[in-house]
Amino acid sequence: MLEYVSIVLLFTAVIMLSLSLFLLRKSLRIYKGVKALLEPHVKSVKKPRKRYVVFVALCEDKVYLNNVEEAVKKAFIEYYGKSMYHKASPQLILYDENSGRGVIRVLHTCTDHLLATLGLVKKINDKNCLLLPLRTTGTLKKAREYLEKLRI
Amino acid sequence: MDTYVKTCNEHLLKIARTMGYRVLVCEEIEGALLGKNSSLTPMLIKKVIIEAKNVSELRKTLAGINHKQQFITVHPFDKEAARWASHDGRVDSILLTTENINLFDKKQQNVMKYYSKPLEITLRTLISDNLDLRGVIYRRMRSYVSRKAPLIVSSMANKWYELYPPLSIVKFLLTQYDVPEKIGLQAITHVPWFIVSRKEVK
Repeated sequence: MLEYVSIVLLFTAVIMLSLSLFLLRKSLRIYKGVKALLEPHVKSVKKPRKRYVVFVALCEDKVYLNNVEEAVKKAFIEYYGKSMYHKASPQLILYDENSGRGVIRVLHTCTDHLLATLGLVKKINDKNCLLLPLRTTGTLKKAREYLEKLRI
Repeated sequence: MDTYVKTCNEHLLKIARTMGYRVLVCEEIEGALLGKNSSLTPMLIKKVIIEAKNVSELRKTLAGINHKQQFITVHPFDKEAARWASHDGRVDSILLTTENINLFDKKQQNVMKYYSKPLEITLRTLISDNLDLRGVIYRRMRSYVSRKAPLIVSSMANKWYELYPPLSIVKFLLTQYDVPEKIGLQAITHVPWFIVSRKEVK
């Protein structure tokens, strides 16, 4: 008789254990759901980074920093609009008038737009010109190093 | 590689070399440059553009052209001529311009895809001021790209400053016409090279 009772008790213990495990899993899922609901929804915003595009201006005559900046701005706005220009905010930060080499800083998400724009510039200050992108770097230091390498 | 340059001269070749071009396909080549394919200048190939108003005219013109040494492009103005050019082995590419854009319908795209005949578009057409036209070109380009039909992009440069840097072409196609970078790159390298490699050019 005692044997029967022990077997029945064993079975009930096993059933209770599996039931408790099932309930634990379910409660965990509910807990996660409630936690996600209570947390404030904030999209992960990536830190805006910069890219430095090294380029060379092949012109018939000498062109100056302001002229190059103005031509790039005009072409960028013509093809991508003012809103994209404000986002990208391309700035000519280095320019050597004698060699025609320079560096433009731009937002990392708009590098492609700037590279396309450089090819579309055909006239700077009424002089026939070509802007040739050479390299894109992540830091100004590397861009400067590349410019110095080109000088040698 | 630029598959459509109007006039090739010494200065243009020098600039093209600086920009990284290895092969130029020119409509007019200055006499002194013809036999001058050194390692310092890009390889030059003569381009012939046939303006086809009907099939018989196209057949006649093709019969008198040495297609093994020249890059043959057909500029069709008639649906039948466009279809016929698509399956002719002597034709290397079919030119799309603002004048014949309506010829390139779904059927024409399928024929060109079947015979793997590249569609050639010049950058002058792609950057035209007419925005409605650019919309039409965008839709045509999208359908060609989605069908994985071969595409060639050329500059149609007449002067040295009308050339485009290859990187700028790829990025321009990506940002303005949503052409994937890989296909854009193939349009100026792999697809034209496949045609040029079959030519008997020294």
